[in-house]
Amino acid sequence: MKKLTDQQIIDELTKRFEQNRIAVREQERLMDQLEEVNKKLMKSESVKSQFLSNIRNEINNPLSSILGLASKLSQKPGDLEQVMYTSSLIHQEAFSLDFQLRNIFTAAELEAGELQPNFGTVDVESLVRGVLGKFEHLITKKKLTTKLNCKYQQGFVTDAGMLGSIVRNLVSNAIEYNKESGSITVEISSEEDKMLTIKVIDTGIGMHEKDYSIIFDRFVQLETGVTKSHLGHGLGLTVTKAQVELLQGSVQVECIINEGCSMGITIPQAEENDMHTFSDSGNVFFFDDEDDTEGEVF
Amino acid sequence: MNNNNTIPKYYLYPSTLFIKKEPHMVTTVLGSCVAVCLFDETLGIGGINHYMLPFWNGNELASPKYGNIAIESLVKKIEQLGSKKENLVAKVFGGANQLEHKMGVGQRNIKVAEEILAELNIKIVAKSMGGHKGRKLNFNTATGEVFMKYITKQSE
Repeated sequence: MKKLTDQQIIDELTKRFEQNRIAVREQERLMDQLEEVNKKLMKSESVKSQFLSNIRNEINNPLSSILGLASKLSQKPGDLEQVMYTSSLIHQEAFSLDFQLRNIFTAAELEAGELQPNFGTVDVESLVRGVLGKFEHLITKKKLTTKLNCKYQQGFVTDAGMLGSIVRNLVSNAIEYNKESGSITVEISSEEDKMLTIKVIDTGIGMHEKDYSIIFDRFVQLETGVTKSHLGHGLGLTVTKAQVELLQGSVQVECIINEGCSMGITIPQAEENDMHTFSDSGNVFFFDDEDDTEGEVF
Repeated sequence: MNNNNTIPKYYLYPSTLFIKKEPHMVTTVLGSCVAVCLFDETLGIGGINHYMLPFWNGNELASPKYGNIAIESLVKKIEQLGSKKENLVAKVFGGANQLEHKMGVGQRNIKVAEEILAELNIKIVAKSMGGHKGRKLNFNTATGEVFMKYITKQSE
């Protein structure tokens, strides 16, 4: 057997120790990654169970109220005033149910990749007025004043359904997170007819800047748990942002704690019947180079 | 290309996907986004997605905005129409980088397509990826043919 010098033995040992250290480091790194993935899985699991328990409160309860009230109405309607009162309660409950289900369905369509913009000319002012009108009962209940400040009167080419859903969610949040007797201001403006901006400004509880980005995450409400004081599933702003992105637009948030929030969206005007100038991402517009050559065939 | 004028046209938006049994000519415009065109040669049906980012971040909706979701759900949907995975071939386009990034969004979008398709054993039979130019595709879902043109950016 060949004899090794002391130096050779030391070198060999150092090499092996070094290899060992690398292997341990690699294992540690893998462990960290596993932990990270596990954390995400746990979070996703808790998001799911939170959503399910939310459904009980916010879907089943209105439905039970509607059933109860409707059956009361059909058996002991009482005088006209009582009938009106009961039916207004039914309307409120059904309205909240309808609003939430629409967001859930929109989220499902977005996740399936099946929600496609359908462009047409939209009268933005009357669309916003319509939404405010639909939320009238909630606005009155909270004694809020509303103001519509419209600086854009022409028709704007976009998807009316999506814009309606976006405005409904912004207004609904402005009501939900407002203070009693506060106000809601909706500002509509446009930059050279190309970009449309709608801002919904409330005088509510506001929030910290660090929360601006997470409010758009799915199923996130800043206050959670059984004691949470606000309705909803934490889907409204998620579907809002996703729809704004489908329309190639962006969202803006500015809040001051205890003074209120301003939530704005800006979307570009689409071209009716010519959707081909639409870009892929980040508002970079491409245009067809107009020559009629076939290009390459694959 | 004559018969292409008679089949219905469809414009595919980013973050969405399209798959139907009936023949369609699907148009989409790609920058750093990637589109995977899947085609079943035996059934003569095809589908296409258009994703913007490689991986779902776990925070937003799990939509086909993200490559891993867009590719898997496209495969699932074409299977629901009766396709078998072994009959599927893929054509992949896009992933341009506007900036000189080695590992920019475009590159990562390409990588995710290659990796997931390899994992699913779906062969990439044609591709045009990377570079600095945007692309416009016309995908005939009945023949699997893709007509591609490079496009230039409007501003700059």
